[in-house]
Amino acid sequence: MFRSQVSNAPGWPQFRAAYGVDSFGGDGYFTRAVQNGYNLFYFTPDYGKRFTRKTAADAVHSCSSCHTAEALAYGLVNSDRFDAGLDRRVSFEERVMRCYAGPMDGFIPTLYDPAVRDIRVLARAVAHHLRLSEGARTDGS
Amino acid sequence: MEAKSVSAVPAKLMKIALIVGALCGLYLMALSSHAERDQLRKASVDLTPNCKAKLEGYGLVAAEHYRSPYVQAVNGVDSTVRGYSEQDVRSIQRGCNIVDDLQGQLAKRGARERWNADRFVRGTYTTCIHCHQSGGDKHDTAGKPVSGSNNLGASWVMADMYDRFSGLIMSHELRQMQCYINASNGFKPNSADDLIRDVTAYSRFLSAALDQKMGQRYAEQGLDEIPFSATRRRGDDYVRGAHVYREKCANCHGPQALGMVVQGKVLYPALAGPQSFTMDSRMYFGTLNSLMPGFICRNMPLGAEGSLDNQDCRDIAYYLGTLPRPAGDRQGPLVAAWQQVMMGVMPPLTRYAESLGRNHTEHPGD
Ligand code: HEC
Ligand code: HEC
Ligand code: HEC
Repeated sequence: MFRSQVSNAPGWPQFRAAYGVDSFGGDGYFTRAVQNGYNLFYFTPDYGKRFTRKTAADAVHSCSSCHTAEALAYGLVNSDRFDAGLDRRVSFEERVMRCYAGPMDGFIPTLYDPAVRDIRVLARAVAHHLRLSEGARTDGS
Repeated sequence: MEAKSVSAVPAKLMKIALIVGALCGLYLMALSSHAERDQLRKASVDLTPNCKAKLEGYGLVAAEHYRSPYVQAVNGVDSTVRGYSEQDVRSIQRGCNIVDDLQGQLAKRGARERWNADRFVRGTYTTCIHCHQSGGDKHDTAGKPVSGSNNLGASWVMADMYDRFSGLIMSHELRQMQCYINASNGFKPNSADDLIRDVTAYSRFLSAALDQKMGQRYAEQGLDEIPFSATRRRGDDYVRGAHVYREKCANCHGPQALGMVVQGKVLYPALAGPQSFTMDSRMYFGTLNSLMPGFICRNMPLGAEGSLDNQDCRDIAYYLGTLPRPAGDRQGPLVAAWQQVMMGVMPPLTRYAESLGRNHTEHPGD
């Protein structure tokens, strides 16, 4: 569902400044999608209710409990690769879906759901901030 | 009473058996097509000559690390990134083949080697490189990507941005779908179809080979636009456009822009008529009147690129916009039917009218 307004979750102004999100425009569609991605990533039980059984009371309750924004960005530029365990190529979107269903003890959103899309958009914004290119590795080499 | 219910039971059973049988048949068919896909994914890829040259030039092999020889040579930087597995390499190779030869005209087993891409396009000869030249990665003589050349690597790093035409944030996959629907007058493949994913893999590889950074806007992305304001504001004129077209373009694209196909191979793509892009495509002057002029001025006439001025390009684009072509989804069934009729009627009529014209003596200054 498209919302022209995204709620301001705690820490967003700091995140926005730290990751240079405004370089995509102060109030663009993209920026708003990044913000929704931020909300989903750090406050999953509030913003991704439909796709998780976790609540804020759980010790591990959001994507950010296990991942950093940086790791998410590296995940994006290293996605769409062959996974020997699954014996097929796995997209970033599928990784996100799997984490909703698995570690988040919830349900799988569709490929087009903002709960998936905006995580990708968030990852893209962070990857832009880190100046990553395709296949960049965490050790920087 | 008794006899009736006895015969009704077997009839009912027969019906159920029939339905179950049909479902089993469908299931078996699905299994076999899955098996075929799996086999194709695992098969080694016969590259088209263009793709062979491109991917070898970029040093694509399965290895733990990938280092782009291009970036090393042109930018003098050593960019080592994560390498590709055998499976990933094949996906990239298939993606390049799809862009270069969408309908498998160069493939031994035809469209099957391209995930049956011909299912998704109506024209028999459309292929992505007609508009995304050099496999979506066109370079100038100095080896630099050409500005406004619809580069697919630059498109990948800028995917997910807001698209002002659809009003959506569009992923790379959705942008490809648009090109199936509008640029190729076709249908939407599924986002997770191998057809789409292999091209994404190829685009992503191009961005690695060119060392393009995520979220960065590069001049080679998209097509350059020539808006009205970039002319001397004399006004666009399709009659003049028709004249320039006849002089500069008709020898390749044909007198009525229907393209040229020789022995099943497209030499020159159609710019109008049933084999061409639809009225919803951004290439269509009526939808976006600045993009097609940009394409023409930068890329055409092939061999003498850059020889036309901005007004020429707008005039030609306007003229091409007046020729009959397939309607898009947004025009509705009436316009679609009308366009269909015009595509049938106009070419012979125009030919006839022009044959009359030839009998007149040319006036000086015509
Ligand atoms: C309990 C910890 C946990 C939580 C919570 C969690 N993940 Fe994960 N995530 C993992 C693990 C472990 C992996 C690696 C799994 C694998 O390789 O199969 C992973 C992998 C991923 C990847 C692929 C990254 C890569 O480097 O390949 C993405 C993307 C991702 N998670 C996104 C999310 C998102 C989005 C959420 C919130 C909806 C989330 N995760 C919540 C543990 C978690
Ligand atoms: C008739 C010409 C034409 C054909 C054929 C065509 N495209 Fe396009 N394509 C375009 C135009 C025009 C654009 C939009 C360029 C712009 O916005 O500046 C575009 C944009 C794209 C984009 C998004 C680019 C970006 O910068 O975001 C992708 C991806 C794409 N095409 C893939 C394909 C694929 C794959 C095929 C083959 C199935 C294909 N195209 C065939 C004309 C074409
Ligand atoms: C020497 C032959 C030649 C001439 C002359 C030529 N073209 Fe092309 N044109 C091509 C080829 C070949 C392609 C396919 C792309 C490629 O291979 O670079 C093409 C592609 C195109 C396309 C994109 C294809 C599509 O499906 O929409 C347009 C538009 C176009 N030409 C317009 C023109 C115009 C306008 C002129 C005159 C100013 C012109 N061309 C002159 C050979 C030619």
